[in-house]
Amino acid sequence: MTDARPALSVRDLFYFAGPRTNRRAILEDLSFELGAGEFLCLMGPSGSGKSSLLHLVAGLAEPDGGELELGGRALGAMKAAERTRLRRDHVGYVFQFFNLMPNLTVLENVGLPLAIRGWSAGDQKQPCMALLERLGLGDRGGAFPHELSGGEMQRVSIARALAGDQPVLICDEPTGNLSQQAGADIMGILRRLATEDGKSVLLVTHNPRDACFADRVLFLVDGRLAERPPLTGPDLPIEEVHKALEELGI
Amino acid sequence: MGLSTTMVRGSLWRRPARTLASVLGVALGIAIVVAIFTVDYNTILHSQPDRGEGFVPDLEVRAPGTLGDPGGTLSQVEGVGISAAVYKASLQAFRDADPRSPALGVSLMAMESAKVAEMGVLVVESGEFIGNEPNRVMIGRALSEQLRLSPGDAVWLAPPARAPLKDCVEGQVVSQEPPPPPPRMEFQVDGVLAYENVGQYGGGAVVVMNVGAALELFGDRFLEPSYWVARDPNVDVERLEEGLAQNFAYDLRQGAVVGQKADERAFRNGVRLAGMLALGLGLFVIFHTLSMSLVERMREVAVLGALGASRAQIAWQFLVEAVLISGLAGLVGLFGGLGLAKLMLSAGITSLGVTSTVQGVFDVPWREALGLTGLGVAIALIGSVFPLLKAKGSDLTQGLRGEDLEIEAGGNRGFHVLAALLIMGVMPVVFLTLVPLVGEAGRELLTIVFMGVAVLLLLVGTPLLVPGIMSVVARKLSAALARLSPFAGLLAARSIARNPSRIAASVAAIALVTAAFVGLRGLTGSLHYETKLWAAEAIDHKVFFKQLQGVDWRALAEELRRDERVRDQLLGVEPGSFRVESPFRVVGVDLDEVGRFGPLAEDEVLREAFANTQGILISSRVAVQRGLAVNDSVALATPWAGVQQFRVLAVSDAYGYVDDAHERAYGVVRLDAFRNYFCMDVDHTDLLAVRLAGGDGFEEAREAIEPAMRDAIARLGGKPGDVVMKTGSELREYELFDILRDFLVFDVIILLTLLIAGVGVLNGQLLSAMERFKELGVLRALGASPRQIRNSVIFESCVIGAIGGLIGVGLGYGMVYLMIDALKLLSGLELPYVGFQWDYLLAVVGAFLVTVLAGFYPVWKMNRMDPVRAVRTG
Repeated sequence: MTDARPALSVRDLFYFAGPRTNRRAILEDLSFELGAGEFLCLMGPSGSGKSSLLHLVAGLAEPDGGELELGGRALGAMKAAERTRLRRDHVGYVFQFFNLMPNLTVLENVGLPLAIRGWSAGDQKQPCMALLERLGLGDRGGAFPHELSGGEMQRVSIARALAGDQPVLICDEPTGNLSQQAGADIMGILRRLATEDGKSVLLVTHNPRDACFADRVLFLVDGRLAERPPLTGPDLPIEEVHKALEELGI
Repeated sequence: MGLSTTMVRGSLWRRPARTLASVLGVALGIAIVVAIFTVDYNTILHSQPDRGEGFVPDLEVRAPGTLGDPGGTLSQVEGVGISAAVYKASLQAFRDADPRSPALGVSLMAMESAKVAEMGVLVVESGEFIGNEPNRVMIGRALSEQLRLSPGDAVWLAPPARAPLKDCVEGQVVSQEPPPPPPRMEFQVDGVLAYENVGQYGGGAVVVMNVGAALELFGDRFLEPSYWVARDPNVDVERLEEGLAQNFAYDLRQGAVVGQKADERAFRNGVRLAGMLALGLGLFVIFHTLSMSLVERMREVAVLGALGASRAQIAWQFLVEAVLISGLAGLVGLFGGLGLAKLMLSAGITSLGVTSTVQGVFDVPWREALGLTGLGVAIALIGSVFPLLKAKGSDLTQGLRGEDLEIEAGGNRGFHVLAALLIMGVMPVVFLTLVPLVGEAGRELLTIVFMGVAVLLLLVGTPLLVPGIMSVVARKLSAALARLSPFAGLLAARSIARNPSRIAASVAAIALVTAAFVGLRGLTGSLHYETKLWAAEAIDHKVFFKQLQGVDWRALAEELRRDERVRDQLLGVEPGSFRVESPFRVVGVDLDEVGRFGPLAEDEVLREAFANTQGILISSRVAVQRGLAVNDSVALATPWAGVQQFRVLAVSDAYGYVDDAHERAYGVVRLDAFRNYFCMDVDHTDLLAVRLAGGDGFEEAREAIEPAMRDAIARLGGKPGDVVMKTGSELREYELFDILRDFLVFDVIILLTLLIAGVGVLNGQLLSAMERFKELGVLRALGASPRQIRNSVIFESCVIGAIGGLIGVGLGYGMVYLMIDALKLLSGLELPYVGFQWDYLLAVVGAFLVTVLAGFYPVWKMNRMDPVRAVRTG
């Protein structure tokens, strides 16, 4: 399931935020790896630094200490433009709030990563339609985001994250705004992407149901990884997750 | 390219209302300046009077015989560019020396040919330019053809046989003894003139020679020189006339000064300044719109960044969008402006007031129109790219979290600083380079630019510096409105508190237009008041008659004095036919008649001086325009006695006005002097002004004067049915109405700027509504009615309209004084300051209405919101 070289490596990571006179630690001394084709879940309560970690992993923000390697390349030493290229080539991003462009159709939204790479609209169409078909949205390519349900919007968001065919998929609370059934569908899709397509999926969530789909579950408390062994899956019983959360007082 | 195509299509095409509003803001600004310049260009181009045949210099000047060195003195006068002595006469031309050869009558133009050549009006068709040698000439094409003369040929010339001399004796032309025939002299033809300019004189049968040769040819005959003057365009025409009036009589070609007179300059410059303000406002609107859309754009940038788009790709997308918006606005503005100009011209609206002289013609000043369009497009482009600059340093993670971006303070301030620099600094400088103000640079320019910058400072300075103050005032007002509808008031107050810069910018735009309206009303109020003051002295107690068909005016006056209906009120009469333009209007008046009213009746010393010296009474407009005061000397060119000097005895508008709209520059001289110098029949007239006493019985006499006049005409054997009468009060009302009519062009500009301000307010509220989409949707879901949502927007509009209107009235009230000062400086008119006028309140009501109307589209848009969609995050 995992290759020798991790898709993502995080070592001794520190990240601070807030005004200069009153900086507070968001992430402290964080270390973990995401193997190739692995589905890793980071669980934690709101404010534990989950989203900030994803921003760092995607190269959208710069860490204040430690090392981050994506596809074997250290992000810390990179300039913004290099980080952008690395993100474009290695990371697909699924957002909690979907962040679909309201003025673009579903097909155009999915095609954005390809448009960013300079593909014409004609060239984008076939692979994007294939992705939409795969995610059960084959007939919604011409719709606008506001015409979709929440679950559909998130599937579009996933399709967009897949369009660039990046090896790493980072997902920020992807079921946070969905019904239980829609959330389960989305998690099923992510699971298959790891299993069948070999995508490395880094999921952050506070939903125990989502964690059950992961190969490994780590817990983030107040910006630090909990000092307990990770849960391992897939097909984790939800009780184990609840138990771990209770142990941690989350 | 794929990304920018996708994003730009989504941004522009799928949000037509916002795209339209953005384009409209800039397009309207560009359209107004293009229209104004095109109207002005056509006004000047097509207001040139028909010059007829031959060259007419800007000025033709004559000097009194007493002036020792007229040419030297003339060259010292400020505003004289090139001057050359010219002698015009008739000649006889012969093909050979044979005394029996037939003579051809030709025109002689003897001149300081080298200087005249500098004016570019001697165009040689064949041969050479006339040399300095004696006995050399150039000839016109018709003469060359008729006598078959070519360069190098000889031609014999002689002054025409002298007709019996005539003289003006007691107003009658009298013939004297005929002189002997003159000798003929041989000349060599150096060149043939093309049939243009000087070559057109005499239908091309013209001889041009140097002054020395002409003096030799004419021998002892008197040749009176005149001087052709090309004016220095950098010196105002009044300064030139003031300098000339000291020593010279002159004839100013109207075509050389179309739009150049002080009041015309003031009017045209006012129009240009208004255009500049409109462009500034248009640009401000687009800048402001873009500034407000920053939040939305930041989020877009953040998502694109997270998806791997590079800065360059995002920059390119913004650039493409900016080019499309600006380019479209430029096109719409350019052709909209040209269309507007055509519409204005066909309605008779020109940069010199409302007139029919330029109707039916239309030329496009492409260079300037494209330049102005380019200016608007370039500045809009820079403004459009600003979000890109902000995006460069933005924190992408904030955008991804869906948080409100902290750009209100820093981002907007930076944006307003950029807007201030571009709109107040770059735009006026480039604008004034492209469309320089009319007239002398210096004080006028500085005053006007200062005023413009001051207003623009308000426009961009308010949101920049005092959004907080604006916010507090706005919230207080909205709290008051909350009593009407507490929930809507709360929403409005919250919206205002959230975006003080937006409110302040909208307020500034409305305030600017309101101030312009108030300023204009104040200015026209001042002009009205000045006209009323003039009318009180010049026309209010007079009645003007036309088409009297050469009636004996003395007999007519006697008839009127016998008529008991009017005799108690009748003070005196002024025949209006005895007038010349030399260079301003000079009217001959009978002292016995005009001595019964006005200063001549009140001041015995003045009356004595007018009766016994060569004096002139000038109107206040002449005094101001020519810088004349009592005891100054005025040179008048007369046909029979050369240039005569008249001493200014008084400045008064009481005498000399004839029924001739807008002609308030006149002077009066004694009728006998007029008769002697101008050799004119001064006994019969077509025009007559009757001065009534006023006070008790005035109204009755004014009613009775028309029948009395018709009866008098009938008794004198004339045709009473032809007589046309106008009362002084009718003329005054016409003059007052005409001021409003002339200022129609400003009304059009203000209306369009109001539209721009409305678009700005609409844009602001629309963006605010879209920004609050989720919030409003949630409120709808919680039970808020569409009416409550609508009221919140309307309340906000009311607050903007009320504050903008009130600030605008205050600012405009101050601007009135500045504008009057500027107009006094520019036009030399003695304009009084007027106090508060009730019209000003119309401005507040108008501002209020426009902002409320501008709120309707956002209201409509909000009411179409689907609460379900809004409450679903995404």
